Order: sequence, then C-alpha cells, then structure tokens
Amino acid sequence: MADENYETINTLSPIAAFVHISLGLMALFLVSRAKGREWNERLAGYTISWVLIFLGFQYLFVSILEYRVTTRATGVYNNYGDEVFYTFLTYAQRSFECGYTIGLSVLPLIYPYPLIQRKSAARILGIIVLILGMVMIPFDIFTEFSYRNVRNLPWMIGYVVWTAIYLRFLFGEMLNGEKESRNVSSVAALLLMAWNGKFYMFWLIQLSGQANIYRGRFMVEDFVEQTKISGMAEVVLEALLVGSFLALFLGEMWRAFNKGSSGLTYLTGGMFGLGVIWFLLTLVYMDNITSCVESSCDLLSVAWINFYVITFQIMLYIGVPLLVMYVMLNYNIVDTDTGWGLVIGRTTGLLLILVTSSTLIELIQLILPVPEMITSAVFAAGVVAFIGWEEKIMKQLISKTKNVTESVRLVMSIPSYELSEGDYRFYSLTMMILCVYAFVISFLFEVMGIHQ
Amino acid sequence: MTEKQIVKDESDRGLIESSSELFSSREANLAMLFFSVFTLIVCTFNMHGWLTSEYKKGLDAITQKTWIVEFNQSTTGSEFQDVWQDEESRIIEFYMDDSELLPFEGYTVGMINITVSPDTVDGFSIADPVAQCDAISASVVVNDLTAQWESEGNILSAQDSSCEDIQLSLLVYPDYQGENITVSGVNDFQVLQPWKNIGWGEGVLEIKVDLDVNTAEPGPFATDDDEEITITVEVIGFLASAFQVDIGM
Repeated sequence: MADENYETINTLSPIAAFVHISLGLMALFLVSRAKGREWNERLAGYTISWVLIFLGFQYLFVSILEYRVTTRATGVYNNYGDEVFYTFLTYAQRSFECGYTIGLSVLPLIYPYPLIQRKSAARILGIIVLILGMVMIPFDIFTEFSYRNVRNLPWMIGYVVWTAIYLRFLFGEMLNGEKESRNVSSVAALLLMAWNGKFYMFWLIQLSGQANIYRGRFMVEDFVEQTKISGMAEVVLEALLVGSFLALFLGEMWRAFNKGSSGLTYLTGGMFGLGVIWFLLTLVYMDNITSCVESSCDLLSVAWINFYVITFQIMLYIGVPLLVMYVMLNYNIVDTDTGWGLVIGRTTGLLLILVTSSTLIELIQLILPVPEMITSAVFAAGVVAFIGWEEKIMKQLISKTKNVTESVRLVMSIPSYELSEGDYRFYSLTMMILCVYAFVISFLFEVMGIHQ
Repeated sequence: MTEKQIVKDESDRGLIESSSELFSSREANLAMLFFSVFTLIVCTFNMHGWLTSEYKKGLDAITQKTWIVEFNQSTTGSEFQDVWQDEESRIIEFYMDDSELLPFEGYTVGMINITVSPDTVDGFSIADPVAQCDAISASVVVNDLTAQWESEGNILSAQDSSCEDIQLSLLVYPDYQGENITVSGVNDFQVLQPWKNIGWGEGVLEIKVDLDVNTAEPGPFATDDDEEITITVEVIGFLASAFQVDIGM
C-alpha cells in the first residue's frame, strides 16, 4: 500500500483469509458428521461453511492485491486503480464476493425457520445457487463492478426474513410466555449481527442521510463509478439495514428491561453507541469527506482511518467468524460431541481465540505506539489464561447447546424430512462448483482480456 | 408456556403456507408493519436526498467540462538608476520580497520583465556629439530565484549598441503565458489548482550589466567615459479565475 495514511487498512486480511478458510473447512467436516441434525440445520451448516470459505478466498485475494499495488485511490473501499483492476486478482476477489452474497441469499430461506419446506429443498437451493452464480459472477465482471449494489440486493432477503423471525419469536417470548422462543430470536439476531454488524455500526449515518455524502465521495473515488441504479439499490439496502437494526436494538432493550440483559443486549447496545460515534466523526471530518465532490479528493484523515479499522474491519475480519462459529457451536448445527468432531471442535475454538487475540494485539501495536515487549507480554498472558479456561469454555459451549428447530416446533410446525446424504452432497457440490466457477471465470476473463 | 404438539409430518409446503405461520402473531405483525413503514420513510427520504443532491454533485464532480482560465494581471515594479564607468561590469540585486516588487494580495508572480535603458536620447549627448552609442550588455544571473530558468521563452541576456532599450524576461510560474487558456476539468477547484502553487518568484533577481563606452576619437569633446543606465524591473502578477464554457455553445 502506497500511502501511509492507509497503512492500517486491510492489515487483518491475510489472517482473516487463513481463519475463514480454516474455519470453513473444519465446519464442513463437522457438519458432514452431524447426521442426527434437522435437515434445515444441516443445510444451514453447509451454507455457512461455504460462505466462510468464499469469504476466506475473497480476503486472500484482497491480501495479494494489497501486496501488489503501489498506488490506490483515496477511498477505503478496495479501490486499487488500473494497475490491478482488470486482472485475475480483482475478478476473483469480486467473484468470491458474489459467492458470499449467494450464500447469504439462501441461508435465511432455511434457517432458523425454513421458508422452503419441501423434501427437495436441498436440490432447489442447489439449483438457486448455481443459477445465481452463473448469472451474477459474469454480470459483475462484465459491468466492471459498477452494479455492485444491485448485485448485493439478495442481502435484503436476510434483512427482511431474519428481522421478521426475530420479531415473531421475541413477541412470542415477551407476550405469550414462549420461553424457548428466545433460542430462535437470539439466533436470528446473532445471524443478523454476524453478517451485518459491520454495517449496523453506521446506522445513524444511514438514518440521517449522511451515507449519501459518503456515496458521493465514493462515486468520485471509484475506479469505475457506480451506476445510478446501483446507488439507488444501496439506498434501499441501507434503509432496510436501519429498520432491521432498530428492530433489533429496541427489541433487545425491551427484553433487557423486562427479563434482564444478555450478551445480545451488550452487542446491540455497543453497535448503537458506535453508530452515534460514527455520526459525530463524520460531522467532524465533513470537509475532509466532501473534498472529493467539492474540490479535489483529500486523503481521509489518519484518525478516521484508524477508527474505521478498529471498528468496521475488526467486525468484518474477526467479528464475523467469531459470531458465526458461536452460532454453529452453541446452536448445535455441527457435531462436536464425539471422536474427531470433539477434536476438530476444540481446535476450532483454539484457532478462533488465539488467532483473533494475536491479530488484535498486532493491530493495537500498529495504531498505538505501544512497545512490542508489552504487547507480547499481554498476548502471552492472554494465551495462558485462555488455555486454562479453554476446556471450560468449550464444554460450556458444547454441553449447553440449544436446539433451534425444536424451539420453533413448539410454536410452529416444521416438517421433519429425512433428506438423503446424496441431497446434502449435491447441495455442497453446487457450492464447490460455484467456487471452481469463480476461479475459472476470473482466469478466463483475464486471459481473454475482455476489458482491454 | 403452553406445550404444543410437535408436528412430525413430511408433506411439502408452499412458500405462502410456510410464511403464513411466521406472520401468525398479531402483535409481531404490528411491529413488523411499524418497522416496514419506518424503513419505507427512511428509504424515501434518503433516496430523495441522493437523487436530488448528492448524486448530482457526484456526477458533476466526475464529468469533464471545458473551462476558460482567465488571468487577471497586476504589475508592480522597481527601478534602479546609476552611472556605469567605461568597461564596468556590475550585478544589481532586486529582492523579490521588496514591497515594491511584491504582487498584490492573492496574486502570484507569473513573469519578470527587465528593461535596461541607456540615458542617451537618439544617440546624441553633449559629451558625445557625434552620437556614438555605447555598447551595453545585460543578463539575468541564474541563481536560486525560483523560476523557470530552462524555459525557451526566456530572454536572459542581450546586448545593444544602438541606444535602444534592452529587454529581458524571465518566466517565473510554470506554463504562464498571460493569455486566457482553455482546459478541461471536473470543477473550477481542480482547473485552478495548477495556478495556485506557492513558492514561485522567491529569491533575489540579479541583473548583470556591462558597459563599453564608444566615443568618436579623436575630438575636442571626447570626454565620454561613462553612461547612466536605468534598470526597470516589472513583476507581472496574476490571479487566475475559471469560467465554464457553456455546453450549448
């Protein structure tokens, strides 16, 4: 990266690539062993595992791009300019982003409450994945990614469905005394938080219309600017995000007021606070942010960048795998009870905590002038403390697992299909085909030089 | 909590049937309706802001337009007058931060014109009635003065023996010509940015003048062995402004 203002941006991407790919593969192994789980839980497990792998590959290409480029635009988006824009690296990075979007568009259809209730659900989802992949990836590359937000529109399925599920089961718990409904509302909230927490922290910016100012800046900074319709799609997505976040926040506050606080209360409360800080920070740096539109692009200030890294990028690179793995372990999607499952499950926990803590310490060192000796000592102390508690934490995670589908069945009916292993394999295979397709298409498009 | 019978069926259901169960709680539906309306309002408000203001600004900021850059000029100057002896060579220094030479507030030094004038009128003087003009050579000494020393438009040295003024000129600001120019750019800030650099025209202007007196020899009045020379330094300052050329033109 050329400019020192941006030296902290994406420093976490290499480790995030490793963590996501490792976790994805381990989760895939654990899901394939979880034969006693409900059909929708297993499909969700496969989807989440592949989404993690897609994200891992995406971050891998971000890391290589960061290493390769010598100049970049002033923006914080992956905006590297012409030296790498029309290359395999960028194509592949964006193709795996498409894979992530596709995974996120099918996950809400089956988990925690399956909207698709058919015996052929695995085949239907597999075909949806393939069709979306075949269309979305070439479309994205052909249009030079200028319809980025149109491509991201399938995210709205998650915003709408998970928010509806959250509200339905929250009200069930609060008004009808359906105690087990909390399992469903909390898993819906955690999934929303895991995938969208990075955007939730901008809720006040999006609510107040400040997001339009950033959009104007990014329009100037983007190597190929977003089309008008793409900007409009982003506005729609942001409005849905705000609605979804406020539903979550108000719901959790209501629940905390009546039933006491939980981890989710702190998580949503934290996001609320971050949203206010981001709003104020935008006001403070308004001249800096609007410079692109008003005059000429000034680099975003170092303080802004550092805050972006320690909030947005930590949520993006570390928060997502942490929350997703918590959902998978705590809500019994994967098999971590016996044999290799137990070993892999514990390895997953260790990997998550050790890698993320060391990464965070590295990041702190990059931003604050703390001597290496102190951070090393803090890290060592953290490792020792964690190893001491690891068994206890993992046992608690595994033994106190909650069965979401059973909780749903207490208030609604979900058919209990016995899908064949072939169905699951087919679904997983479609995801693998998507993965290979992303590589091949990116490579072919570069070789063909479609944008030359 | 009321225990409900767990349904263990394996029948297929349509999307409407499965979603209808999700919307079976009246209170939750009301909350969903509230958040849907809220989302719609936020969406409408922000969409309006985006399409009527920020999108237009952004589009304007990335659209190349044609601009005329106009240079409003100011002239400041200083004069030095002294008598040179025959075959005398002297360097005269003009400090660019001298109040007489400093351009007006907000103006930038564009170029410097120097005129070296002998005091002889039409070649005739009492000391030299035969009207022999003196040979004067003048040059601008290349030094640390921040200017375009390599510019082809510069006249850094000249000489004359016909009693004419010697004109020298030094381009100070890069590419400054003094005439209006047409450029393309996205906004007036970026168009004018090349003309707002500071630091040009700082230092000391040194003018070297050599005199070689020519007299009509021999003669009863042949006593001309000096020359009064006037050096006039004219600093051209400029203030650039940009006007967008009407697309309809």
